[in-house]
Amino acid sequence: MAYTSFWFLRAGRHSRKKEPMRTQDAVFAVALGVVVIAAAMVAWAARHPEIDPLEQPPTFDDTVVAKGAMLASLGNCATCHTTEAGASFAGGLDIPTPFGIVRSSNITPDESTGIGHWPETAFRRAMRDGVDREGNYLYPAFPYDHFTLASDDDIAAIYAYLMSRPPVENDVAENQLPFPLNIRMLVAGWNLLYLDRGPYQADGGQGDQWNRGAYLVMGLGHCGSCHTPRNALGAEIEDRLLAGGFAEGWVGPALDATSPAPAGWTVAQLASFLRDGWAEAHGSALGPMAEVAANTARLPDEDIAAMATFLASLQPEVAEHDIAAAVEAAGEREWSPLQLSALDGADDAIQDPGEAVFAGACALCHRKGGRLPISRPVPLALSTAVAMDDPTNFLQVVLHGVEAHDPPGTTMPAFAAVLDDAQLADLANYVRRHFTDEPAWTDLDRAIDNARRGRDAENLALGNGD
Amino acid sequence: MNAPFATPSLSRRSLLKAGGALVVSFAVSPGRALAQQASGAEEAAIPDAFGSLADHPMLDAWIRVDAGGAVTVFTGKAELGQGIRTAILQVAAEELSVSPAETTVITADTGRTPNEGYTAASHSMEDSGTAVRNAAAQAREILLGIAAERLGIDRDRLSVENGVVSGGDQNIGYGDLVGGDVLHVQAEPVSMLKDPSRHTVIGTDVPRLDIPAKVTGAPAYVQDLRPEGMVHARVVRPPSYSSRLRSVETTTVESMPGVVAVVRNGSFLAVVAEREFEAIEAMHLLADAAEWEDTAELPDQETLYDFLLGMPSDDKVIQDVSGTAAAAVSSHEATYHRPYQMHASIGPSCAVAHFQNGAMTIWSHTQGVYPDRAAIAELLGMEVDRVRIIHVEGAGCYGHNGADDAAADAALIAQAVPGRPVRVQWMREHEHGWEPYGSAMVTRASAGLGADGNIVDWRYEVWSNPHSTRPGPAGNLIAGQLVEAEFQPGDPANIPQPAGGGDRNAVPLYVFPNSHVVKHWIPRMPIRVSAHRSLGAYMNVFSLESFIDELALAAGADPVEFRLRYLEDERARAVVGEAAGAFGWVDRPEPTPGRGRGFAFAQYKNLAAYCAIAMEVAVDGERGLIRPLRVVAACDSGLAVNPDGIRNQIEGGILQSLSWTLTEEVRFSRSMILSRDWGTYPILRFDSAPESVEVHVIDRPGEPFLGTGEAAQGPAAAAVANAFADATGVRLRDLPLTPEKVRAAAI
Amino acid sequence: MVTLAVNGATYEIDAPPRTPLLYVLRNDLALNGAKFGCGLGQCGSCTVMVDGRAVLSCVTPISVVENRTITTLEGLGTTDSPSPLQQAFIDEQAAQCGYCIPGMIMRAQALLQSNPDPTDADIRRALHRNLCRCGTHMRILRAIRRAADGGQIAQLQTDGEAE
Repeated sequence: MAYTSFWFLRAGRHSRKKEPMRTQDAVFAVALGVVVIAAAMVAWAARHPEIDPLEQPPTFDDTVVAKGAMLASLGNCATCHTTEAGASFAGGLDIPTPFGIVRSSNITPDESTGIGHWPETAFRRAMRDGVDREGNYLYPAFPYDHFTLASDDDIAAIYAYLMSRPPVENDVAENQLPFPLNIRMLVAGWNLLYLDRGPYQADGGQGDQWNRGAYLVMGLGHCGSCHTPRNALGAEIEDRLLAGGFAEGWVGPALDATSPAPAGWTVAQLASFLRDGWAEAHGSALGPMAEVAANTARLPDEDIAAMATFLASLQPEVAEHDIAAAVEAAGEREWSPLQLSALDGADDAIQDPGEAVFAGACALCHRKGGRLPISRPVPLALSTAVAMDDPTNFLQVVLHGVEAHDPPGTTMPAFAAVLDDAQLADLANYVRRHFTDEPAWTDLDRAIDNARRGRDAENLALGNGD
Repeated sequence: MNAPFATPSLSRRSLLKAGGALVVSFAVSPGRALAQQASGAEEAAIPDAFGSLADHPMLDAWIRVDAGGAVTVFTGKAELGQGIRTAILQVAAEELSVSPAETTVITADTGRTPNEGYTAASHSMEDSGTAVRNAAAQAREILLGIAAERLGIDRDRLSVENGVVSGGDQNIGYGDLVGGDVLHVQAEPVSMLKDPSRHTVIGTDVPRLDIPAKVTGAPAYVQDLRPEGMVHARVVRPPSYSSRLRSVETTTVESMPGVVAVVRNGSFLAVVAEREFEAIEAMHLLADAAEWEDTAELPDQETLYDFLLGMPSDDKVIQDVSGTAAAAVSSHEATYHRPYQMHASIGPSCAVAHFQNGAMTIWSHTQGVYPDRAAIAELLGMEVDRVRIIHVEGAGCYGHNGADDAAADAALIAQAVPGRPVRVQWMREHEHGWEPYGSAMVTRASAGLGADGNIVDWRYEVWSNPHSTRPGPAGNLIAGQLVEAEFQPGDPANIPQPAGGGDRNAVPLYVFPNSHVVKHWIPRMPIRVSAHRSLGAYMNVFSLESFIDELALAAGADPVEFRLRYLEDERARAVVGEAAGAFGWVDRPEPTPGRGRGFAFAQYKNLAAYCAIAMEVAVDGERGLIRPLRVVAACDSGLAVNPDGIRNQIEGGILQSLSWTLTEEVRFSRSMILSRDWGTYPILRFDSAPESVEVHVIDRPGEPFLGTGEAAQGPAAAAVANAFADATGVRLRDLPLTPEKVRAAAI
Repeated sequence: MVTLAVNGATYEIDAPPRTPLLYVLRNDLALNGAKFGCGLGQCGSCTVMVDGRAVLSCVTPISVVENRTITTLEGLGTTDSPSPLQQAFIDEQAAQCGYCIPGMIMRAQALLQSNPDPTDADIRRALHRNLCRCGTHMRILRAIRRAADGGQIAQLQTDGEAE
């Protein structure tokens, strides 16, 4: 099993590349095969039957559909089940996992290529147990390990919403998983070990708002999918809830007591972040979180407050005036040309090459002054990406920029073609030193390499530096 | 030659000998002039039909020929990227029968060209194009007359091509015919215009003169000027409209490398440096060092429209038609909203000013060199004739943007740095935050349908701030309000019908038995507003064309057929038919929730170009996106001087309108504008551009030019909304049609 | 002094190393192609090519491009002898005010150099960061399509000259 862990970890936290099979891997594969057969036998005993297809397309109440739309936003269904150019929910998005590529299915009510024939019971089983209408196991890239917590009513509402979308014909291609992982039956074993079947059970020792928040965060919100560390088999580690995870080449920072954010996360800061994708003491939602925040923006205020309450409870309480103090202190650390070690251009000797990069590329926005929220970045001394031990998020932002979202706000250019690896490392070191009191990042070269790999190939093909 | 407006036996010389005064100039509104044309009274020869020639009747104000035969054309209008320089060249070259290659066009310059006010309202071809056309035709006749005498051949036996007059086996070039001031004469009330059937230059797609330089990096813009000794300046603008500068510590900035001066005059603040980036860094520091008193209170954006409706207004009935009609069996009403929207020029405003020997020369992309000159002279306390403004192209302005103000900033700073040309480049945040926006507007339409499904009565009201605060007085300039002297802004213009401001296109072209249209003009402007491409027409056409679509649906009628019932203007009907036909409207498929088709039509100002648009869109409710797929437009601009230029303007108008309609809204807090860059004021990107746009131009060779640059915006907006309604059955009436609103409607 | 290689020639620039490339191109080298549209890396008007990739010169300090090959609009062709891509823009009359066009051309040049046979979707994606305010989008796409179909996009060598 130790070897198993090694292989899965090496397959990479962010890598999309498939490692070639070597002798050691072959030996491992045989060993795994034995385990698989055993698990499969267990699974066979507990297999799920096919559920009969629908005869008649159902009709739905408008209010239920509207509620379902909101819940589907919380669940980010469209994010995975839609390609860039495709119709919403028609599937076909390649989702990289450490185990290979899983493709999202077509969940429009198309009768031949979608879920048009699924009765509600089948949909509920998919959400609770990760099994499709025909009885096949779904891969946990679809986070049914979270969705299982949703109530029957909420699942019914999402069903109503999906089934009332325009049907789109899209025959999604097979997943790209190596043998033996492409044997779905294996997932039964995984479920046995790691699926804690729902629905959510309220914690009697906590209030209604906290429980509502817990229900939303741990259930449909599936925050842990990105913010909880995973074990070798890709399952979230139960006793490290929201202690930090990974997604799409980014780090999902810890949201518990180990949060690396320089200022604390109060209920107000969290609510602002989930509502507007921005918080005064933290800045903008970056990377994959930007779209998540655009989705949570659609939730009613009381649900956002509930989620914020729950999340805040995982961290030590922070007073509002401490937040204000942190914001002010960070403001003092903001950059201005007067800080340049060589302000007079006649002196060519740049003490710090990273400083020249910062002054000419970053300080146009990341500088002292400017009183406008949202369009001006938060002081870098408040940035989690800069303060974290892992430089990944910082590198991702610098290399690929920030795309403006609806509602409008932050945008940042990409520097992947502007800076080479050495210049990027210089900049990273300068920023780390100038805006934090943390020790320098280690192993920057490997982090830079990893951060470049994902987007670079596509961009090279377009001649872009983005 | 069978030319319009010609009186064959009349010769210029005989008129002059008779000592006839040739200029009759009295103010006639453009609408009346055209109406008289339409009634066939060509020979009434009202000078206003000759455009700006009426105000500047000397022929050599417009046309000059040098001894080498090279022709120079002068226009008081400016090239804004709409292709006017090329179109005017074509008009002159055609009437003069010279080669376009031998012709140069000089545009707006207070030192050289006639005063034609602003390049705005799509009047350039109507005013300047017409003036140049007539001046060129008359100049040609003068030169032919001289040639006839010189060659001893009858005028009627002469022909001219490429600037060379021929008769029998003799020929003589224009260059040899000019001498003295043969063109220094006043225009006649009649011109021998070339028969349109013989046009070889007008009506062809002459490639634009300015494009080759623009795609290869040759100098083309005011931003490209680099006179000897030039310094770079940056302004520091206050946080909000009526902030006053309380204090600013300037010694640190003054001692920065390269800084030449810090300029402070009241709340006007700027810094000048040798190098551009030095100026930018100094500007940031100076901005940080400034302490402001903020007093502005802007409306609450959440309740903006209630606020607008609650302000005092000047109300006027602008159409009141009463007639007999059947009783209404159903009545319908809708209210529409439009937020403040920006010009948001891609290149922020820029100007260069040089103060030397008591004279100020300014290079600017202002739409009005003469008016801006007057305002700046007042600001500086200089005589008007000591100030010269030369138009140099900037980025597209789409109306009154920051250009006039940047020119004033440059002039003010140049006074502080005499002898050195000063270049002021506004930053992105300045252009976004300080340009005057297109006004927020509310419209309300109501109508009654008779038993036969026809409209029996129509009511329409529009509420709007003014749509013009151009300089004007120095107080209309930002600098004017900031300096110690605190010039007061002038009273905003309440532009009357038929052109209108907020009420532009509020009066429908459709003919209804009863029609009552009211304009509510709201002079108090908490947020800076002025002319924004098409003025009120964008919103009024959006409202009107959305509403008439609703009525068509209520009447169970096809939207195009329904409109034709009330359109009497033949050219309007033709344009509607052309667009619908080219689109395949009659055979269009049934709508689905994800796919719909819409139609809209308007004649800009009910006076200028006609434009009809049919559009197919895809709707994605989950993402809240309306994606225009196929757009088919038809346009009638009268005599089409450059058909490709017309297509370019209509395509551009459609795309720009899609951006306004689907995305754009100025955001503000209670004290300041929040839309300061492309992140906080997003516009359309390539991924949202339609799959295809076709424009069909209907050429009308015998007709006057009709302004085209603002004709497409209104119809495009309504076509989108109508297509969305076709797909989803839901009406969207609040601009912009953002993803949030689309999602709420489409889910 | 910072040494820059622009359009095949080398220049010694006496400007602070942190100076964004845009201002050096325009002021020290009097090149008009790259334009100031925002100075914030948001609009693409300042796009140039560095080592064959499209880069926003307003947020690129000259210190980082010192040993790299810089190509601006002027390096593609002249008014007398425009490059195939520039000619395509002229032929399609793909401009209204024209201010965004140099950025579009440089972005397109970078695309066509690395992918001479792009789909329409590729072209739209490549232009994502370039803004046009006049609404010339359809002509810009047609011009690039025309140039791509013409198949003559010269591969610029590392010293910045066309082959």
